[in-house]
Amino acid sequence: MLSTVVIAFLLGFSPTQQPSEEIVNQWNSLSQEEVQVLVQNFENEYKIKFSDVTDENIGTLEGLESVRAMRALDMRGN
Amino acid sequence: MISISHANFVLGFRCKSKCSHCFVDATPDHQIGMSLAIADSLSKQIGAEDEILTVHFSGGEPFAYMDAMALAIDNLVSREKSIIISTGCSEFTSLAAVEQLFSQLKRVDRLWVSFDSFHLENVPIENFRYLNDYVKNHASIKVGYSICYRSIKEYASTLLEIQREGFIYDSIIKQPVVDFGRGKRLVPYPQTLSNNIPDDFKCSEVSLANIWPDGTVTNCGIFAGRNPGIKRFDTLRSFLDGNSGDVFSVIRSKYSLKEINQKFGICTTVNTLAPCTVCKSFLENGMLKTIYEETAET
Repeated sequence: MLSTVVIAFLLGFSPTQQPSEEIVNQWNSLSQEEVQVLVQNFENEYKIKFSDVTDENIGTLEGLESVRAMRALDMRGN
Repeated sequence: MISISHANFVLGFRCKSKCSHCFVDATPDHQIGMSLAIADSLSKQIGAEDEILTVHFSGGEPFAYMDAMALAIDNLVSREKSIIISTGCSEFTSLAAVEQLFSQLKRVDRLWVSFDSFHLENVPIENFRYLNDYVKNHASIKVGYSICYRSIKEYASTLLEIQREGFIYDSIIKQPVVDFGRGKRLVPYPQTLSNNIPDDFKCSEVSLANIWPDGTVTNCGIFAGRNPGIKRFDTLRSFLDGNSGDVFSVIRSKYSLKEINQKFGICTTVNTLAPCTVCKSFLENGMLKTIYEETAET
């Protein structure tokens, strides 16, 4: 079972937040193929092996998250 | 002085997609669009501002406003700025149509393509394939996909579809949304949050100049300009120079967000959870989650 903090980050939420129980349940409902594509996309985006992400080191990804947040800002309107 | 690194042209509110969570309620029959005179004037002003590094065109569907977008890009193309367009691909009805549209644009550095179950309700998947065929032969254009989704499963299945289609991209944006159903208004965050905002809360760095179709400028894309109460600026220069008594100073130093809401009536229809520079601070302060949970129950 993944840490809820890691799940939150994977889904675009801040690692400082815990995802709700509903989100954890949604995660647990995914097929293997769906988990695989999410993890693959995460690894491509952040250039890090997903298995190496832990509660302890996830804070180091926050700089990258800021870049992603700016990209999200670019997307408003569509 | 506030540093503004990013300018966003909202060219108009017409779009063939009718996403229920759209922050400007874009529809196919919307008549509001930026005039050529405004596009010409504002793009020249932005071109002259060295601090603005990125210029983004959105809508509505920006390719529905080709004359204004092409003119603005003409004015910007010789400047050292990245030119970015967000598109829902509704105008890309054939490969020839894609080629014809892009032939009018002197330079495009990046496209953000809105590809998700919302857009696919109204835009054939062939349109996205035509664009992909085009960018295959134009490697200078970087492509990212933006995915709005109501559940993790929906997000994952969209990623799988992109993979199966063989679409070229270098980045994905996740945009979880709260879907209230077509035609229903979403909850403006001040109403949702007014009782939850800590008295000492302040927004994080604001670095966006948002240019609305009528030429006025606001500080943030999600503080939608057509909503009442937002501080607006007549010119880009007044916006960039505004460091006393304007919305930036009140956001950054003088008042808490709760007080800003009370004094200035800032309101919007925040309904996506993807964090921008402002909403990221909501997120980090635990308030975006509050929006989600409260609106989800509405």
